[in-house]
Amino acid sequence: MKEIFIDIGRCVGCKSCELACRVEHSRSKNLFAALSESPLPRRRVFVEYGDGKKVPLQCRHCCEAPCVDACISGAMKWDSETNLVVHDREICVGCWMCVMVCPFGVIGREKDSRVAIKCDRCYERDEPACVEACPTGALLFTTLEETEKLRRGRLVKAL
Amino acid sequence: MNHVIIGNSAAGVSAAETIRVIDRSSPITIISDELHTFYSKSLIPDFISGKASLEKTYLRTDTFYKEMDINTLFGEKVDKVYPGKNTLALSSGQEIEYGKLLVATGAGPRVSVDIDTGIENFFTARTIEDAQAVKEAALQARRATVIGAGLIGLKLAAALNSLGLEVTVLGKYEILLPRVMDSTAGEILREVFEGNGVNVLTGVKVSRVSSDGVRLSDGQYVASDMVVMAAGVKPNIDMLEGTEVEIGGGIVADSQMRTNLEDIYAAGDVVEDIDFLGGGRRFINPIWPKAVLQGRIAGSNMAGIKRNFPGSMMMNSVQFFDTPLISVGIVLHEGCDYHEEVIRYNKKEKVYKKLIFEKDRLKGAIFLGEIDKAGVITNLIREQRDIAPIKERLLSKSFGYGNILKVPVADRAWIV
Ligand SMILES: Cc1cc2nc3c(=O)[nH]c(=O)nc-3n(C[C@H](O)[C@H](O)[C@H](O)COP(=O)(O)OP(=O)(O)OC[C@H]3O[C@@H](n4cnc5c(N)ncnc54)[C@H](O)[C@@H]3O)c2cc1C
Ligand code: SF4
Repeated sequence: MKEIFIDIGRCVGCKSCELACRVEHSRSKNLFAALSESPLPRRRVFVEYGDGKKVPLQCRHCCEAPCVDACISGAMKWDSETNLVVHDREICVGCWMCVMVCPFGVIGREKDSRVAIKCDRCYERDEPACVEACPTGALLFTTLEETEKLRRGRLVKAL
Repeated sequence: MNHVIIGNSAAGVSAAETIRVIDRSSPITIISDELHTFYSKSLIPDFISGKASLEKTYLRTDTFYKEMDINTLFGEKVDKVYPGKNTLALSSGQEIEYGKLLVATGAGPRVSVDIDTGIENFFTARTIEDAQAVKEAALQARRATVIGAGLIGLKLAAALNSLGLEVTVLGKYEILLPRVMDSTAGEILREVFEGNGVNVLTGVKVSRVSSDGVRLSDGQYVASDMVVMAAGVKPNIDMLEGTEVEIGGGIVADSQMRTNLEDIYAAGDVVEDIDFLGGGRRFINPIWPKAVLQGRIAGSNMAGIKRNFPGSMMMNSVQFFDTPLISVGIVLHEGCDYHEEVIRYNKKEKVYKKLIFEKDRLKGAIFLGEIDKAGVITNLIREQRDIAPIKERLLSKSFGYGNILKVPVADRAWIV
């Protein structure tokens, strides 16, 4: 199963992922048209700065996700077929229980329509838009095994 | 093993699902005195306001119980449990055997005021049926009074206000949300309610509810066409009366959610928790996520896989009109050696953020108006992590997960 991995240390803070995420979740799916949409399409990945590091963060699709447990409306659900935490905006009532419990702080709020928004891992695409857009390889869409191999390889090199 | 669960709500269903994942074949029976399929009690205010239809309050599909191979006895009340015989008696007279029993009966409304007998416009709001009655009464009424200025009382008041009723909220304490907000936040909140046309009377005591209004102990009379009471809950434990199950403020359970009796477990609002943030405070923590989690832990242990409940702490999140608010952990700390830092306060913009510390541990937080990334703080409180190295950053406006990333956290999604 493929997941989004974050190669901390590679991010240069260019925010290409944020932009690609906005475009992917726009109505037009085109950068220039997306810029004139109202409301402006929102991003679900956030480049955070802290302690000299830059970290692109999006939903980790946790297992036994706290946001799913906390959701009082059933809008936030675990989809056992795709192994994704999915959010249904039609059901969401905007109580923000999920915002209260997400340990990564990656659930946004659409204030006007009062619904939560978060990464859907671009389930319609082969590769998530943020990963595709990242020019430095800070975001990877791969399996845990592959990631482990990469990591071990690096450790060996560093010796 | 024959699993029987009393209560078809957050805790009960979560337990049943967990048992079924571990054990494909043992019989599971859920008993509920309600007729409805699993719905969200927390959505009752949204159901009353019309924001959520009845269908929207349902949390599983029609075929859920069949697919999960769960027997249901709905519309059946459990009168009594006989631990010696491992049976229980339904009010219909039927006797049911259990191998393991989960009591997930939740908590009912506490009605602690004097009410004229026979009046038809007094309501509580713990079930969807209650909510339907409130909704119908609201169609006829012009003025509504809500007794209770806690989260549920205020949610109900906002719902009735949105239906166009003239609403008065009566609170026992001076501030709104006395258990989860401080006086600064409470004042902002009062402005939010009053600004939206809700009358707020705090520091008052109800002496009598009559069909045409509510009499307060100071002599005031609040005329109203309907009265809704939401001032505290009490655990539904009648069926355990006379048994040896240990009861305090609610059912006492260990970290595996087992009572003092081998085959009886408890989960959700019916349980008396110990505040894991310290002080040994025992309390009922009637919140949805805790009920789901305790249900899962109970179910797992009932099915033979040992798991421990990580501990209970107060938290809640809600939006009143345009103002969201979140309160986590211990926010009222009189008599404790805690200190607090107000990160932001802007009365005009209705923004207030405060963190509460005990030395280098976070104990609580209030977010009002601005709640983004609150979960990062909630998690620091839950983990009781030493925050000394990040304290400065914690107080900055842009604080987020990136600031506390030290080592890979989730084993599945990082490489260093
Ligand atoms: C109006 C309202 C708004 C709320 N809003 C929020 C919110 O925003 N956020 C939040 O976290 N929480 C909220 N809550 C609290 C939340 O709904 C509860 O914490 C949660 O429902 C608890 O689940 P439970 O399974 O423990 O018990 P319950 O949901 O109370 O279910 C227990 C069930 O057992 C049944 N039962 C009881 N006794 C018997 C018996 N003897 N025989 C058979 N059946 C029996 C009851 O009828 C009930 O159906 C709200 C609650 C209310 C009422
Ligand atoms: S939104 Fe947050 S809590 Fe929910 S699955 Fe994603 S990372 Fe986990």
